[in-house]
Amino acid sequence: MNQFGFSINKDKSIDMDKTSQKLTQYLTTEEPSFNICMSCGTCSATCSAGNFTDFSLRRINLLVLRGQLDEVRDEVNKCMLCGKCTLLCPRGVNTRGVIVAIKQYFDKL
Amino acid sequence: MYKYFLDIFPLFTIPFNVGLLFFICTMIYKTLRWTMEIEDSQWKILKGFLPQNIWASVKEICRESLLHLRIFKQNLLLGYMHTSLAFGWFLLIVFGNIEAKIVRGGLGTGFELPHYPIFLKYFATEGSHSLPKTVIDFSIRTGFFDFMMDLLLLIILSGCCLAYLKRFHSTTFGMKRTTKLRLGDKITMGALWCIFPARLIAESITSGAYGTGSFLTGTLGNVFAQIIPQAYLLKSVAPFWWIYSITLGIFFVGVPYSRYMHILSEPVLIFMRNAGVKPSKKNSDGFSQAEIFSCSRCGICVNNCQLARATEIRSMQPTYLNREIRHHVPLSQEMLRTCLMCGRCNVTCPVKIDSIQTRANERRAMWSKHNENCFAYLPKVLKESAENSVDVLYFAGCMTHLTPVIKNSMMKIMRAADENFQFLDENGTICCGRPLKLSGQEVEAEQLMAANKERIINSGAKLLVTSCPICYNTFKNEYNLPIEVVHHTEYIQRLIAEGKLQLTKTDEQVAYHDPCELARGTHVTVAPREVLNAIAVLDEQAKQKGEKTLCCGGSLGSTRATNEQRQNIAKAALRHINPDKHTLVTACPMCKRTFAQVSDTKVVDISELVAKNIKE
Repeated sequence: MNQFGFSINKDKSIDMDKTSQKLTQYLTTEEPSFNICMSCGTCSATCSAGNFTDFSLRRINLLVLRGQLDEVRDEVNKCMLCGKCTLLCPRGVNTRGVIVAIKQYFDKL
Repeated sequence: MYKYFLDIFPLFTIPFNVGLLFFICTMIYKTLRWTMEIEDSQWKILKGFLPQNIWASVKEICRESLLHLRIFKQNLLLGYMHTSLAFGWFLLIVFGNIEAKIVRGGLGTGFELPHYPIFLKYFATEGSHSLPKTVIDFSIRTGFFDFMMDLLLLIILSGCCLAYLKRFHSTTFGMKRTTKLRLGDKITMGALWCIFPARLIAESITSGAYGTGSFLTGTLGNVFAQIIPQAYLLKSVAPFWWIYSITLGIFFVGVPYSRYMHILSEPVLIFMRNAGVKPSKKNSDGFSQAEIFSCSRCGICVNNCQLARATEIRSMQPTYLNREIRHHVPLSQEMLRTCLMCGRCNVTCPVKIDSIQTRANERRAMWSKHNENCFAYLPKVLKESAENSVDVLYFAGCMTHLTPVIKNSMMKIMRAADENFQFLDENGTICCGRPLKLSGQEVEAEQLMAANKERIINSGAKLLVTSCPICYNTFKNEYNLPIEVVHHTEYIQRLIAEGKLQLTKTDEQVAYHDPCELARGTHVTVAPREVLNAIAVLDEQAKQKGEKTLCCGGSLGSTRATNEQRQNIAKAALRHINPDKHTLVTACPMCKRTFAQVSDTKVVDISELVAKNIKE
């Protein structure tokens, strides 16, 4: 077969059987400020961990909302909890609280 | 035989004796149990018996368990209330015992039953070995003691009155907030409130019936004798001694189930501390248990907690934390994660309980799983060659990268002083690990610490300068680095002293805020003031400074405080720190950022001001 130097992207459709909204519900009660996020990405831009790797809180936010918890589980551990994002968030989301709550959710599972 | 027994052991003394027995048994059991459960080294407790340690313990027990000097420092009236009750009661027991000895005919009359001195007035008049014709004789011989006992009782009663007042009007005692009580506390407190009035009435009635007593009980007794017929008065002696005995009994039995447990455990805790016992990292440790039981729920921590003052959060302060742990109540997330860990409670605690450590232990227990390799993405460090090695290593820290003016100022200062330095985290900071540690995730924090440590040691520098007090505290106290660590305020002070930095003094008025991690965590309070005096006019109007400094509210200790709560704390703190509205100077990038959001005046870091005033 000819190699054209490009490939087809992986299927990005979300399989509703494999996702779960439980974490979103948990965060809504445990850290309600999670829901006021407007996905501006300031947190990802300032992130200390993001300087070294492709860690991004905005992506975690999206994954949680989509219910793709398997991907969240390992990704969230990359956070150093330094708190720069909390100070910068224009919406006043308690981002460190969101991270700790997500970690607690998986810890108690 | 039975009559003889009743003479020594009148029935009304039973509640008191049962209570006292229970009290003593609890004391012995708890002391032994805590000693057995010390994780550090149980044998260390023996060191407490060394003469100098015994002396230190006795001194501290007198100062704190009896005189309550630390409470006096909080508020004079509050101190008087505690001292009059504790020290007054202690003296009452001492004088009561001496008086009892005299009544019995001096030393050498053998062992005295504990209830004898307590109910002395009863035995001296009503019991059959009361000295029938010597009632007057007794009065003369013990007149001085009668007077002293009445005086002490009066002092204690004044303390009781203040205690009643405090329940309803605590602001008189400098306490905006006091603790909420449990049922056990309420019952025992009720008993304590009744003990001394009951004693007063019982003694007065006895005095009235027999014509004894000094200025207080005697006078009150005379009044009773005037209005109540003698026959009734004689009959009512025993019932009132019953009431006194029952209140004492309830109090003694209630002690182990209430906040008054601190009466038993505080001396044990002081002894352990002087023996050099170190707390372990678990709250089940004997030392930590002694600390938790020693919390008297006085509410001084609640009163000093900024969360309690500036926000509506009044249920997670150390006093409640200790209470929930002690009574095995599961801790809520709010209790665990809201605290700012600023450490003001530790500084003001009259029992010197390390509640920050207690909470950190509980936070650690929050996590059941650990991630051994979650920071594998951090860059590998390359060994620097020897000729590139520098003298000074500058670590800005995460927060300083958010306030670039600080790192730029530091660059300017170091270049002006012609230092051979390297900027360690110019292209990306690895967090010092403290935020993770504060959230209880120690295994994860250790990985960051190891990465940083490797970078610092490989640089070959002899001095590490940091701009962030949080990093400074961690590097200094947790990393065990082979090189010296200083905060940039200390570093600038050093450069000035060595003559490397020439500064011009301006007449700008500034107020200085002590960051908690710097003033409380590492005790750096002099260096920043010296630096400021060299470049500006320092206004020392701040009410809470040094060790008692206020938190800016931005603290990384909390993962639950909301943005709004943090801002309220910052606003309230500003009113104390900068009442005259000068330029506010601080030495922490986080304080700068937090205050800048709510301050009317300019907020600058000390390094900015220094960089601005360098002599060209």
